[in-house]
Amino acid sequence: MDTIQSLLHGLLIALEPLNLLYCFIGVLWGTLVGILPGIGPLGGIALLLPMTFKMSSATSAIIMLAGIFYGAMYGGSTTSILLNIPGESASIVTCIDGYQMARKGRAGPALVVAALGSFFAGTVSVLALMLFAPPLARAMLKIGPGEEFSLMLLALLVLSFVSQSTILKTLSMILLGLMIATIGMDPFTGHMRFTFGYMGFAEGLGFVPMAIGLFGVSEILMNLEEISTVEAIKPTLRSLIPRWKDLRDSAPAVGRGTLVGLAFGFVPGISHVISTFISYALEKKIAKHPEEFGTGRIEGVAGPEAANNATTGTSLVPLLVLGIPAIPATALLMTALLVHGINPGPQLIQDHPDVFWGLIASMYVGNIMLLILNLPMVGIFVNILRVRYAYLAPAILVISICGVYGVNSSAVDIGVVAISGVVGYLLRKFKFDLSPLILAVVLGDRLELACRRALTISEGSLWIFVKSSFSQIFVAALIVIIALQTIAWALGFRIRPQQKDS
Amino acid sequence: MREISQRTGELVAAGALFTIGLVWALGSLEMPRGEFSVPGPGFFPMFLSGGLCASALLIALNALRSRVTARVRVGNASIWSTGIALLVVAVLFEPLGFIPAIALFVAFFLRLLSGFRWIPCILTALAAACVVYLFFGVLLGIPLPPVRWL
Repeated sequence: MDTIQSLLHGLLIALEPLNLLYCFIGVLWGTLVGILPGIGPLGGIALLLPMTFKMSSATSAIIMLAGIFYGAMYGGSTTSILLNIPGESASIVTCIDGYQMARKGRAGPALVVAALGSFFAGTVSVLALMLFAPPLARAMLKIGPGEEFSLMLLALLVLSFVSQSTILKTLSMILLGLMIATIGMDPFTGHMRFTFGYMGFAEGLGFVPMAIGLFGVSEILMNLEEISTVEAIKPTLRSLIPRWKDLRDSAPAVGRGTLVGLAFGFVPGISHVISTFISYALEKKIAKHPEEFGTGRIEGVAGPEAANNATTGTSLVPLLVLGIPAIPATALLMTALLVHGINPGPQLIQDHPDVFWGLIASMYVGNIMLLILNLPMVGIFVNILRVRYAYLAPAILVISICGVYGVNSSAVDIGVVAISGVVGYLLRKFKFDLSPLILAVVLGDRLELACRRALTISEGSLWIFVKSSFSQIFVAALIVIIALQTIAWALGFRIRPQQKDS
Repeated sequence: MREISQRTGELVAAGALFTIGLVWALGSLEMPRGEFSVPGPGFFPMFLSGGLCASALLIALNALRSRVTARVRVGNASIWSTGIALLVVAVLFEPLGFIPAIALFVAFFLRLLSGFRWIPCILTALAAACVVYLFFGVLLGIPLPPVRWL
């Protein structure tokens, strides 16, 4: 009953005209960034993040930014199906069968099934967030600095297993990120660390300019390697109507994809990408005619799209309940909350119920908006793709500059964007994953604080990090996650030879 | 575009990471590190820098032992020009003011990527900069640097 009352309260907040507008802006912008190759949800959130600092309400800020996050999951499937180009990384798998369906004149059913599956999975995901988060938050209120340190360290270590890069490279990125987080004033003693005499670094190296540079600018630089215009398949409104057989065949795949996404949403790193590959592999494994996958099977679209949208709710659980962003996009959401004086973590639901329940309710509303937006407006979105990159790239860079300057009114931040962008580009070329770097920058301060507090409490004994039952649970969770990753690798290893055949 | 072997790139990256680790280690030595029971400001960075140096060495070792002969295409004129242009914007942003700095940046980009002549590039860029200023500076209230030198 409490949950329902809280949800109704959240719905009242979400349905306020201003919050409805912010939700709409978020999901629309999210759909656009999902559609436009070269600027994923992280870049999209990073671009609008500085604007949210001026908002009077943290709830409005998080509603808009979360809208970008799950909106991008919807948008990515459009370019995958119509262009064979994934709008963002979670839509890679949708290209395989989605584009084949479009080539056979069945782009409409593919788009509709992707949208309906995304809606169903997104809604279930929000339900899971609503049901799991409060009891988990109550349990997490009991943890101390030792458990907090263990948990964050384990989250970062798990990243090194699930990252797209090698374990060594990922570890080096994590360590680099943690070191960057030490720049500035030491919170315990006030000692200035690694500022190299420049007072502008007293509060640390800006996270927002780094995020925009590493993800937004580096992506533009990657695209500048080879600029090409694209020809998109453009479906008519009438062709969007699917057959009853399409809905019947795709429904079980949507259900299975949703379950896969819900489970993997908790895994730090690239849960939304892993879940789509797992879902596709699962559909192919249980299909009566697996050889047809890759030629335009609707299950190959429905399952992965449901999986990637199902991760959106559950990937917010670590952020909202534990204060640990599991993926870079939620790290930016965390920044927005911190700027408004709200610390995500076990106390969030208790101390700021408006923020939590307002967000949950807005996600239900946002999913409905996305279902209405994505189908009738597909023609408009496709036309946006025809804008020459020569115009799109400077537009994105100028928006980045305005956004970054708006945070601290410092031109040094623009320089940080430039340097981070080039460094990010080079790191990506040599297969270093940037997600662990940015997550470590976000978590670094808290990790160090928790470590030093715990050691002070325990008078230097390291047992404080493993002696409590919570710490032991975290270690067990790490083992489970590594096992899941091993299964994912095993399935992925088996997929590649079969894909070559199809 | 220039081609560099994957091995060379990894060795360079490992070298850069090792250097950063070393700088951090030297910086930590200059700070009070305290002890395990009362860690000082240099405590955590010291461990991190040690870890980074060690992982950099291992990456370098892996790269040297690797038999991978893949070559990676890195950078072209557009990419390096974009990076430099962004740095120039950072330097000129406040002295010149928002509109001239952004107009120059956009004009440069249009010329670089679309090959239009300079006059149309500059006129388009000026118009775009004014529109952006109206949207971000006036409508959204972001404090953008004014043109002081006119």
